[in-house]
Formats: sequence, structure tokens, C-alpha cells
Amino acid sequence: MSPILAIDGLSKHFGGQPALTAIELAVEQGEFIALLGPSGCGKTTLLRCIAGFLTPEAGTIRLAGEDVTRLPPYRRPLNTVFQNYALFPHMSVAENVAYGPRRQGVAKDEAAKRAAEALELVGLAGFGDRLPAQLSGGQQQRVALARAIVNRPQLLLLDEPLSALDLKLRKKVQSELKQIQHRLGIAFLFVTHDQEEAMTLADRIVLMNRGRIEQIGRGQDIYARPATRFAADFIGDANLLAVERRDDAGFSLLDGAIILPAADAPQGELTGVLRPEDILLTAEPVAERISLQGVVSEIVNVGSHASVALTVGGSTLTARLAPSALAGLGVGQSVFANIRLADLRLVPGDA
Amino acid sequence: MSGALRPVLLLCALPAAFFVAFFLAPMAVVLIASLTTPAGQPTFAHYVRILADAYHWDVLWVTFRIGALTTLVCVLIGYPLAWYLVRIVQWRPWRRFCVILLVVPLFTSNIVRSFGWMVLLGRNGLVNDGLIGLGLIERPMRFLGTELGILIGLVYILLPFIVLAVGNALAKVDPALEHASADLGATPAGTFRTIIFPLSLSGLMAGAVMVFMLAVSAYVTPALLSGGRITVFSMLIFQQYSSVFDFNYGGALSITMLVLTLALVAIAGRIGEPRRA
Amino acid sequence: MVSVLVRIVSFAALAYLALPLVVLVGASLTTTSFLAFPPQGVTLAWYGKMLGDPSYVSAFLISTLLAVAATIVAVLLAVPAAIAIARYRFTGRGLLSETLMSPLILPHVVLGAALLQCGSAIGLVRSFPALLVGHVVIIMPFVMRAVLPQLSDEQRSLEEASADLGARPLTTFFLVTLPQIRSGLVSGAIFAFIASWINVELSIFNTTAELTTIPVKLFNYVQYTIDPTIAAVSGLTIIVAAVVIVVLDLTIGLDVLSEHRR
Repeated sequence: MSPILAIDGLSKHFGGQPALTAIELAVEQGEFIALLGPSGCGKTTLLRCIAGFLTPEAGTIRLAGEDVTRLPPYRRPLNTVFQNYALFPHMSVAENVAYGPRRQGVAKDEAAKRAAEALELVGLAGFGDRLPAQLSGGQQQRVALARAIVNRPQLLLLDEPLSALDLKLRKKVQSELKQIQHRLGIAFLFVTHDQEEAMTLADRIVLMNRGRIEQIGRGQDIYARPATRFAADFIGDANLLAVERRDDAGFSLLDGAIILPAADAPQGELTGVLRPEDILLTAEPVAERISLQGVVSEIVNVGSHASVALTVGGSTLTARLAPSALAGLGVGQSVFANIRLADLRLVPGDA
Repeated sequence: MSGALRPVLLLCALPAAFFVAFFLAPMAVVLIASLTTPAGQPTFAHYVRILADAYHWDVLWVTFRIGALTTLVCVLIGYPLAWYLVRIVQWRPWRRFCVILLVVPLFTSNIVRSFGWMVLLGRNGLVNDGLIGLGLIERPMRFLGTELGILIGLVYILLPFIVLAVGNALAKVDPALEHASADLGATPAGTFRTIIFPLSLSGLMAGAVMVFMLAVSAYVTPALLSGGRITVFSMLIFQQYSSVFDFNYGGALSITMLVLTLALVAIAGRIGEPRRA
Repeated sequence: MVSVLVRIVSFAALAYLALPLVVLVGASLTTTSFLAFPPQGVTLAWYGKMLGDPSYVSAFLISTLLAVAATIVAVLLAVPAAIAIARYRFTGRGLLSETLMSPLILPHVVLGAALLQCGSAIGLVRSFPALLVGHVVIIMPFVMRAVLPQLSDEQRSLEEASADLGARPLTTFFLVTLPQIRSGLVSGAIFAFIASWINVELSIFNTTAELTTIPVKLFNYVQYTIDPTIAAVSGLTIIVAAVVIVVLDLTIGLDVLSEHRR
């Protein structure tokens, strides 16, 4: 089966500044993809290129096999949920949702029927006569979704659609969004800067930074096997350790407290990545692990888990443990941080 | 409420008193005068005189016809110009120059602007020279003293109002709405018809109402460009106060004009009112 | 195709807007004793003649004095009223603001007639004060309209902060409120000044042969004769307007039609 969206060698500049560089991406039918990255990473630019609001300087965008790179937005078989919904303020909810079918030349009655169905799908049956301004933020978001899916696009683009909602509502809408996507079976391409949201919703995450794709993969895979320092830092928490190359081709971390044997490692600057939950804190050294002696400098207990910061030599390590394991631990106390070499990954990038 | 009353009184007493003395009281005096005889007896005679006289109806008809035509032409020219300035001009210095060109006439007296058209529209004026030069007419056309001449002058004076009102409305249309429309399959023309035009309509109506009000109540421009051949309603009022000195009858004329314009504006406002929550 | 049509209409409209102004300034430079455009030769003689005529000079002075005085009074009345309307909720608030704004839509001929009629009862006619009160009434809305939007709610929290820090109301007004509404006040005052400076319809009821403003003098003159002196007077008012606008553009910006994108 050919991918529904195939992007090849896409580049875009703004006034000489590269905004997107050599983007390669394929999205399969029915997939839920998150475009994740910090603000300014190019994720929204990429979305706007796909939707047709920006024209790239190089590369192609194919939708269901057809090259749409230079097609205007209104000729592309996809729809968008806009960041601030962009609901037409002078039209009722029903007119907003029927807008798409009407532009496709669907008769008025049929368009109204489809709009009613779409509104029912998002749980807003009976709201058709209201004006957008009369709805709450969450309801407006659903209207925007109904309006975007009413034409049954092959691909739905969502530009940070949940960013205007408060945390509680966002969680609720997230699960609804997932259900609707599942029911419709169309591919969703979802822009977000919230890694937790991306992890919750997406089948695959496209992690972007400075106009490039850093890594593509399932959330848990990126977490477990980050390809770059940026990926390690952006997805989850990580201890990022400076790595020095030794004369015997091995590696030295934490001023020689950890020595790694020679291995196939990428060229250039390297960073050691160690997840906080992979650090075991004990009063005595543990066998078969590397034990580093340190002093507790800070304890933060957020209820579901606790973070303990240790000073080890000149560096700080953060360990994560269950709150119950905090018993007997205090700031200023000397403890051992035990790590397994298998948990330590070397990735390209300067610590 | 009572605690806030003192500062409100301190702030508003003078402006309110000023407006009562020099705005509301004079208007009340006009209203009363229009309903009384010179001796102070209540009467409807002045209004009956206006309504019964075919001449007044003719003048009213001419006044409102010129007002409506002025508004129509202003809309037909002003909307494209506003669109051009907001949507087409990319080079900022040029737009800046255009906006200045739009505002300079607003900052210049009606009399100066109308005088300019007296010069231009004269028998040997630039307009006739130009039209003859282009071979469009053979002998000079008469503009001064015709409704066409008054129309040219009024449109000139009122065009900036509509351009600024429409331009403001167009500049405020959220580009995301246009993107959403295109995303849903509307062509640029479809987006204009269904999104941009309806959203600019309130600005257009506000501008059109303003133009109509000012056109029907204009005095200077018609007075200069009519050459005494055409009478509009404001001239009748002026005559009563400046040469006939019949303040009662003049008052009735003033109130008639005020009521008619406000009524038409209210109707226009009702039609153009955007749907709201 | 549509865009080409829009451009044609726009260029024609811009030319139409520029034409009378260009013609008047041009004709005022002619060396002929009648109005000619294009001007035949270039001379400032008509400007000299105008400045040598004391009646023009006095009309210019009266116009300026009237506009300055009316603007000052209008600002002093409009700013407190605007503050009351923006900051307090009181009975009659809507009525007050509608009344203060209504001269914008009232035919000036009607108002001028009303002021003349009412003024004649109390002896306030055909004098500088009679002109002044009428001008203040019609220009106050310009100040109100420019100042009101700037008395926003965000701005109110600044005033509360000032009060919280121990400033008395008047101190808060001069140190916090006034600097925040300065640009609105300046543009409102300029529009008000111009509205007074160019007015004919209202002034004409209360002017006399000696006490007359430039627009009224022009109006009375133009109906009888047309010569290059009139063009010079007109040209001067156009130049004043253009200078004021360029200053306005450079100080507070007139780019009102910029798209709000990016």
C-alpha cells in the first residue's frame, strides 16, 4: 500500500534563513503522526507546506501518489484544524461545518445533512444554530474538527489544536480525538510542542529541531533509543553527560568515573544519555553495577514519583524513584548511585 | 454606586453642562420654534407648509437622489481602492503615500476642495480640455450647475471616509479564516464572496451611512458647484436663517432634514447589522 | 483579470483624489492674472499679494486662534468625560457618551442654525465666543473617539498599581494615565484642530465682515470672483494640511491600512 503522504527532499527558506531542510517523511493510511518540536523548529512551516499555504523551494509533496507541491490549498484533498480554530464568526455552527461540502458543489440539503452527521460525531448534535462566539473553547475546538472531517479528507492536519484548552479539558479531548481518528480511519498529522501529548496520541512521532527531522519513531522507541542528544533531551528527562574520547579508543564519562570500552560510536562530539529511573540509589555499592558515590543536594517529591539530585564529583546526576524509597534519605547525605552500562547510550551532540 | 458618584460628578459636570448649554438646549430651541408661531402659540403650520408644498418635495427628492448616488459611486470606487491599498500594495512607502493622499483632502476645507473642482469643471477647465483632447466630446460639456458636477464634488469629498472604513475592516479580517476557507475547498473568488465580503460588510455599511449623512446634509459643495441652478435641502435651511430670518420655519426645515436622515440611517443600519450573539 | 480591474479603478481614484489639489497649487503659481493650469510661468506673487492683504492675514489669525482655543477647551472637557465613561459604571453613562459623540452625525448646518437661534436669545452671536462654543461641540467627538479606546482595562491595572503604591488620583492621572493615552490625545487633538480649521457650515452663521475665518472668507469670495489669489489661499491651506499629515505620519503613524498579518 502506498503512503497517503510522501514528502521528498523538502526545503523552505524565509528571507535566506532556512526554515526546513531536506525533509523526508512518509505517512501511511490511518496513521496518527505527531510533529513534535520546540517553537521555531519548523513543524508549523512543514504543516503549512503540506496544506498549501506555503510553497517550498525544493522537494515534492505527494498526496495519495499525486504531486500536490504546487497545487493551491483549495485543490488539495486534505483539511486542517487551525490553531485558533478559525471558525467563521458570521456563520452559524452548521453553516461553518457545511462550508466544505458546499464549496465542493454539494447541494444545500445534502451538505446540511453531512454537517449534522459530523457534528453528531464530535458530540455537538443540536448546536448547529449557534454562532461560534456562543460556544466554549472546547466546543469551538470540536466544531473546527467537525468542519475539517466533514469532507472525509484522506489526511487531516491539526495545528496545535489543543493548545488553547486548559489541562483537564485537554486530556479529555485527547482521548476523544484518538477515538474519532480510530473510527474514521483517516491519517492525522498533528503538530504539537507538548511531548506528553505526542506520546499519548501518536502512533509515530516526527521529532523536529531547527528545520530538520531529528528522529522518527514510536514514542517509547525514541525514549529508549534516542538518536541524538536533542532527542534524548526533548523526549523525557535525561542525565546528559560529557564524553571524552580516550587514547585507547574507549570513552571516559564523569571525569573518568565511568570508562566505556572502544565501541562503534558516531564521529564527532558525543553525549552520554542516562535516564533518571535507571539510577539505583543505595547506601552501599551494588554488585555488577558501576557504583558512584555522591551527596544528595535536592529532593523533589511530586507524589507519583520523586527526583533526587546528587553531586557526583563536579557533576550533578538526577535519579527518579518511588516516593516510598525516599525513607531515610536526606539532603547532605552520602549515597551510592548504581548504574548499568547497558543503560548508558552514547549519542551524537555536545553535552 | 453612591461611592463612585462623586468622581463621576467631578469628571462629567463640566462637559455635560457644556453640552446641555450649547448643544441640547439649542436643538431643543429649534424643535420648539418649529412647533410654534412667532408669537409663541403652538402650531403644526410650518410642517404642513413643508409637506404641502411640491417645491419642497422636489428639493428633498433632488437632495436624497444626489445623496444616494454619491453613496453608490463612493462604494463602487471606494471598495476596490480599499482592497488595492490593503491587499495588493506590497511596497510600504507607496501605501504610505496613498494613505497620505487619501487623508490630505480630509484635512482640507470643503470649500478649497470644491473650488478645485470649480476650476477643473469649468467650460475651459482641465476636464473639458481632456475630454475634447481624447476625442470623447466635441464641444465643452456643462458640469457646473448640473447634478453631475455636484456628484463629482461630493464623491471627491466623501470617498476617503468609505475607503478608510472598508480598509480598516479588510485589514482586520483574520488571515486564518481565509486559509480555513481555502483549506475547505473554496476558490479565491469563493472565499471573497463567502468570507471576506461578509466580514467587511459592517465597515462598508458604516462608511456608506457616514457618506450618505454627509452628502444629504452638505451645504458648501452643492452651493458652489450648483451655480445657483440646483437647490438642495441644506440651502433652504441656510436661506431661512441668513436672509429670510424665519426661525420657526427654518427650525421645521432643520428638524425635517434631521428626522429624515436619521430615519434612513437607522433603516440602513438595521439592514447591514451583522448577526450577533 | 479582476486584480487588473481593481488596479485600474484604484489608480483612477488616486488620480481623482490628487487632481484638484495639484491643480490649485499649480494654478496659484501662474504669472497670468487669471487662473491657468498648467500655470504659465512660476511666481509666488499671488502668495505675496495674499500676505499683503490684511483681511486675509486676519482671517488666517482668527482661524488659527479659534482652532487652537477650541482644541484646548475640547481636550479639557473630553478627557475627564472619557475617563468617567471608561472607568465608572453609572446611570446615564450610555446616554452621556452617545450625546457627546452625536455631533459627528448631526448636520452642521442644523447645529449652526440652532446655535445662532439660541445664541441670539442670550446675546451670544457673531462673536469669537459664539464661534468657539460651536466649534468645541463639533470637535469634542474627535478627541473622545481617539482617547476612549486607549483607556483600556489593561491600562486600568496600571492605575490600580499606582494607587496601590500610594499615588493620589491626580498624581496617578499625570504620571500613569496621561503618558498612556498620549498618542490618542495627540491624534485626537490634531483631528479636532483640523475639523475646526476647515469648518464652513457652522462658522458661517456667526461670522461678520471683520470676524471671519479663512474657509468662510474663501466661501464668500469664491461665489463672486475667481482669481489666482484664491488659489494661493487654497494652496496654502493644502500645504498646511499636507505638512500636518506628514508630521502625523512620522510621529504616530498613519499606516492604518496595513494588514495585520505577520
